[in-house]
Amino acid sequence: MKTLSSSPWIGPVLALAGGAILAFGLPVLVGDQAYLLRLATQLALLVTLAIAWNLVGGFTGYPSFATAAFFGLGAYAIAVAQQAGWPAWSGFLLAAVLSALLAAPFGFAILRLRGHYFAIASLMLVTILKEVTTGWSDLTGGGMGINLPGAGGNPTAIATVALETMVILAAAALALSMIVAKGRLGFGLACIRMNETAAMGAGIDAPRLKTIAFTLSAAICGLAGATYARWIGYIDPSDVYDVMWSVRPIIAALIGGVGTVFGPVVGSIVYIAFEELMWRNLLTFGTGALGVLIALLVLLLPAGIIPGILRRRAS
Amino acid sequence: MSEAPLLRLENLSKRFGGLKAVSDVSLSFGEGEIVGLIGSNGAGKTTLVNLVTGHLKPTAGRVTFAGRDVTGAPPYRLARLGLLRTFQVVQPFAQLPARDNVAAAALFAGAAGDMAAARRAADAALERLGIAHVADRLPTQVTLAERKRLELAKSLAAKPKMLFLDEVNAGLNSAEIDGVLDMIRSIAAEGVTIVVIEHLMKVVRGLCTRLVVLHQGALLADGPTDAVARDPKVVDAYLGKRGAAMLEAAR
Ligand SMILES: Nc1ncnc2c1ncn2[C@@H]1O[C@H](COP(=O)(O)OP(=O)(O)OP(=O)(O)O)[C@@H](O)[C@H]1O
Ligand SMILES: [Mg+2]
Repeated sequence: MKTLSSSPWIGPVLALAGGAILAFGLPVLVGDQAYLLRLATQLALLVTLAIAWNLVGGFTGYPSFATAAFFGLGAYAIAVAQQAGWPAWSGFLLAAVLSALLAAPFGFAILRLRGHYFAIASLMLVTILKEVTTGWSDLTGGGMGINLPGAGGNPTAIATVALETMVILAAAALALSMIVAKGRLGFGLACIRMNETAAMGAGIDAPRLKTIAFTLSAAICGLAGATYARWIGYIDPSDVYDVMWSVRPIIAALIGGVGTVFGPVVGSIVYIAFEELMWRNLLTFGTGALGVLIALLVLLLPAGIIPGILRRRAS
Repeated sequence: MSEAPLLRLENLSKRFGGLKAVSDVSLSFGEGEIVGLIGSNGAGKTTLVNLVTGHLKPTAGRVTFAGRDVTGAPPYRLARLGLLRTFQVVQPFAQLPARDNVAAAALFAGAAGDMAAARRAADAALERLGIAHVADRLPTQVTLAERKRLELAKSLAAKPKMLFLDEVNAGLNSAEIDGVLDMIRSIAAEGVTIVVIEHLMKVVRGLCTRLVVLHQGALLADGPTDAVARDPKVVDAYLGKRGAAMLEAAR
């Protein structure tokens, strides 16, 4: 007999329930305060991307910089779909499916590389997609960017829907991450991260498991990109394929704890809070101060906040 | 051997650039055999194991296991088929407790259907190897002898048909070695074919009925332990006068 607390489903169910409450509670609290709406949406977006990155960079131990590639692809997928008059839901579906379809073969190919080589190969995908998107101007509007016609309406309504969608997406990503961490896939990924040779020797199909993790991660990034595009209403290649979409989730995960389930969530909160304080108070010192924060964290909590807390409690 | 061998190597070769690490080796292994694979440093023993267990792809030749052509098959497929190996340099999952190290093999290569079953199988394997007390410890927190047994437990949990043991006794004292030898015999008694790669004559003599000798990547001799140990080619190339005398003394 399984007790309730040991059931692998309790965490994911709580995450989804919490997400639903936040998604519909936050807009009520925030009302039409544009600044808070934007901040909360940005936080949910970073949480989503950090969780997605953590599936590959954390659980599997492959430091991917491809986040921006799938984020941009998802954004363009829904933009093009809406230009063609498709309903919003099919745009989201297209964003997830295209990202996954691209991620599976590309991931399978580059996940043979290790360390820096993998990181560089994953980063190349961002450049390639940016070039392709810019070049294919018939479809994408090229460097001029593209409008999302279906996302019209008053700014507060758009921002509220964006917040709701983004929070639900973040909660779903967290639930997925919990299921992966507790299950057979997460166990196999952990073995691969610790010792891939031994993992293969123990019967773990490493190429397949790594590709699954990469593909799941990409689908989440694609959905995040689609939500972002509908929120902003206008995208161009230099915005959605900005490498910062790859870098910020990594920093957030590093702050919170790479490879832990809640690290990306906590790290994103700390990162966004810090970034906001910097913008408001020390506009010109922002980047430098962020560097100081990261340096402090690396010194004080080298494994991140979550592992730091766990260790303190254990000792 | 009248019946079809469990593992058959045909003209297996591996080149590293200009170096022929394994050169045209043909061998067969039957069910339940305990075979010693010997040869001086750099003779190609570990490379041969890597070729057979899928960690390296052969430059030429063929590997047949349990009636299937498995040439170039990846290690995880071979592990699931029951072809396992331990590593000369132990390869633990460093942040997992010993139990989960073994459970991984039980789950992904053995018959365990879920994590709970895998952990039960892991406990059984640890118990059988006499290291149940390290189940909750990290691999870094156990002695070398225990770590070597942990590697054996991993292989055992995968339900092997055949096991390559790459210097499992290196670095152990004589009492620890005797313990490991008993384990190996008991595993072989269940019909598991075992190939031990060894430098220690005492081990080879006490354990193996058959010896295979590699020299500079090529097969130098293959036959009953006694005959091979007296073979002048082998004495010249590998054992030397002193090794032959030690082997003789170990009888
Ligand atoms: N990955 C590799 N790349 C290049 N050369 C290699 C590689 N692996 C092994 N070699 C070379 O192949 C030869 C055989 O090495 P191998 O490790 O198989 O020998 P061994 O019989 O296991 O030796 P030992 O008793 O020292 O373990 C050696 O000359 C070694 O340097
Ligand atoms: Mg060797």
